[in-house]
Amino acid sequence: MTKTKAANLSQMYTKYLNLVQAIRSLPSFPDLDAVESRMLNTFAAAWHDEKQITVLEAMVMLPEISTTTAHRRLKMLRKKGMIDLNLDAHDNRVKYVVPTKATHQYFAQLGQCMEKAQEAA
Amino acid sequence: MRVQSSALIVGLTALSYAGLFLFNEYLFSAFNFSAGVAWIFLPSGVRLVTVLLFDKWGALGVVLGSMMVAFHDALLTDPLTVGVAACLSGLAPLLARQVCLSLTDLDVNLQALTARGLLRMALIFSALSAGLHQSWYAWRGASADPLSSVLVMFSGDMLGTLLVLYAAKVVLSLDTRLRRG
Repeated sequence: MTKTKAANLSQMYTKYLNLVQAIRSLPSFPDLDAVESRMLNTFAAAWHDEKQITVLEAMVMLPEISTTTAHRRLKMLRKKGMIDLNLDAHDNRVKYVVPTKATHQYFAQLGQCMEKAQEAA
Repeated sequence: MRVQSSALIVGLTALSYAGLFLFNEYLFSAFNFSAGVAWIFLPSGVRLVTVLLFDKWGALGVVLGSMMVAFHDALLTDPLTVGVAACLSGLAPLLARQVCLSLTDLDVNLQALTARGLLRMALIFSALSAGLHQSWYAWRGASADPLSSVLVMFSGDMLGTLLVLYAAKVVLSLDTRLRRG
């Protein structure tokens, strides 16, 4: 393979990767897997009671998954914009898991789906 | 780029464009505003993606694909109008790409291309395509209502592009899930 051809193919592949990345990040309803969905539902119960959840507490809220998995899922939820982390006012080491606008929209959408399901039943 | 690679790109693009055009006709012909103007136009997504990835070769493939479907129509009476329109199908996205490179922060290699940037590009692509096509049709007296046609064509191109992009998004997410196991 000549240098020019290799450079062209390399450029094409770079463009492809960048385009794929942009397509993946198109706005949509976040694609949550079962674990992420379960975590969010568990947090929702605490948020509804106006309780603050630290990251450490969040990692152990679901006993059926390991803390490593929980931490990884927290990072994914944050990446998808479904949670945010707020620093404690007095202790920078403590971070609280808080809902975002997307979280509220997500639960509102689920609520609408439940309403429709009830009407249909 | 070697001739064989370019020919492959042009050929595959032409076939994809023509195939999607026929598929679009099959699915959405009921949504056609007039001849050549549709409320949903899926091939515009192919135009965007191929020109972004393959530049002029993608554009040439689109021109070829457009000519394939245009001259397939047995009712065709004005080859010049349709032939130039087919060329505009490839030229418009190429021009839009240049506009994006000049006026936005788009990089030649699509570096740091964001979702917002991609949607903005789709908007520019659709606007230029609709504008150029309808200007040509109006010039040739082939459009009964140029203003409405340009708006419908813009909407059709934009909607078609969004459908193609989101279909690609779904395919990519399925691929990720399969790889995760």
